[in-house]
Amino acid sequence: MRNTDSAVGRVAAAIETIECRDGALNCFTQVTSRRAQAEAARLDESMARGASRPVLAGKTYAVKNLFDIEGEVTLAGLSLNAHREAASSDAVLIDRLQRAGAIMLGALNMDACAYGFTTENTAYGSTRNPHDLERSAGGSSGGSAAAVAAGLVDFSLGSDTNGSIRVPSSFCGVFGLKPTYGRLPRTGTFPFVNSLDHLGPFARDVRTLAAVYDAMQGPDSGDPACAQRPAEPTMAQLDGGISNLRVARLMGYFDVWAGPEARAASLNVAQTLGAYEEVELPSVERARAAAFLITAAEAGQLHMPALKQHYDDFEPLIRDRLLAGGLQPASWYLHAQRVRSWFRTRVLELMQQYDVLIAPATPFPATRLGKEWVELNGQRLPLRPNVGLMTQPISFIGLPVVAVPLKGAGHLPMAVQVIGAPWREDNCLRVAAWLQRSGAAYCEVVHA
Amino acid sequence: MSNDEEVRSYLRAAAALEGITLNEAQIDRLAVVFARNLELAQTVLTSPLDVRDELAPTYRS
Repeated sequence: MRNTDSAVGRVAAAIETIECRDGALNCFTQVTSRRAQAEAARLDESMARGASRPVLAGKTYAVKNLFDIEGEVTLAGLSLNAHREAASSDAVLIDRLQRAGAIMLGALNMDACAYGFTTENTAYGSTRNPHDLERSAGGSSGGSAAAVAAGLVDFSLGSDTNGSIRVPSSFCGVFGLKPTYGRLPRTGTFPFVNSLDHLGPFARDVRTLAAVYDAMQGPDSGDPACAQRPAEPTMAQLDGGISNLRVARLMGYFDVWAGPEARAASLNVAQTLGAYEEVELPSVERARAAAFLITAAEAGQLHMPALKQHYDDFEPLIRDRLLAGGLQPASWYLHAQRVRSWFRTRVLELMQQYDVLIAPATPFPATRLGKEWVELNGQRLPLRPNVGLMTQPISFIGLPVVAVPLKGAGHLPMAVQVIGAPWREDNCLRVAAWLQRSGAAYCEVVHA
Repeated sequence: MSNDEEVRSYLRAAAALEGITLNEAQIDRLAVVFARNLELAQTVLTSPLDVRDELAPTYRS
């Protein structure tokens, strides 16, 4: 019998679970067993010497493979990057988690360049959904969500540009936090869309999610977009309840484009919270179009040098989208930024009346791998870009969101977005914690 | 840009300015994606917004 009270024992058990189950799931692209064993041994020794127990002591985790891990090559989902030099140091968030006692087990699969919502990767294979191996884990942080859902790690880190934390949270049925834009430093991570990229955690319970988030907060000069705000810990308010929060359900666009399961999930959560007010955001379709154009332009320009040199070797699922984006006229990009500014102002006006807004996280539950088209609102739409219908307008203006998983009507889970005002992650986490305590939110290890 | 040939001409020229030479098959694929972006751009460009709404480095105190 292994002693899982010790960090060394927990790590050994986790490595065994990964070896046993990840072949079917394809969450990991690198398992850093030696490093994890060394970190665990150091933690156990430190505790044996009487040091105080760090807040995340012995918790195991892994990171989307766009985070720098010292001594490992940062892939960002691209096989072209496999020839790059190994990272000389850890990403800032990994460093902070290590100080908090968490133990890193490796790097996780993703859509190439984070440009996708399904984690179907030509070079590294598809990550499979633990609830149904024929279905997508969501993306682009699919490996991160699936690893948590399957119990391979206690928590994980991902990134979210247009929905890449909230979509896989919904498909895999785990909690995910996309903080306010600028809250967590991105130093030591491979970028996708500089003006939209966020980092955040996944976990199976809100307490772990909040503890990990709290451990990662604080400014860092390495990321110019990171706000110079001191850490604002959320853990102490988690059990504060929801009685003083003004909650409304987002309708209009968010109802029209929701499939039946998504609509039911949003309504169910709103009713559970006693939120009977319904509100609409203005010009959401235009905001989403602008987010698409900004994404295409910034990502296209970022990867233009690589596209010039290695077009034929570039991930075929995205190379034309990147190149088309990189060749867009400047007027499109500038006007899209104006739309962003306008939309943010209107939404912030609305947020003066409400603390939290509720919306589905995805229009439908996890879809089959390889699926190309979906029927929605009476229209036949290409699946891959439209998985992010519900998330893209929210991250466009950087609002904090907790994706809260619910038990779906069938065997597949779904999540709703609990959306807060800028810098009010605490409100989102309080609502998520309340939903978990009430039994409305549902997440447990999937043993399929 | 209103028709397929204008899109294709634009893409050839824009790619050439970036130092990229595309063959016809690549242009075909790119034109499909670009046309989708063009449709989104029409949605965005019709909004009555001006330069004051652009983000800029602003020092406030």
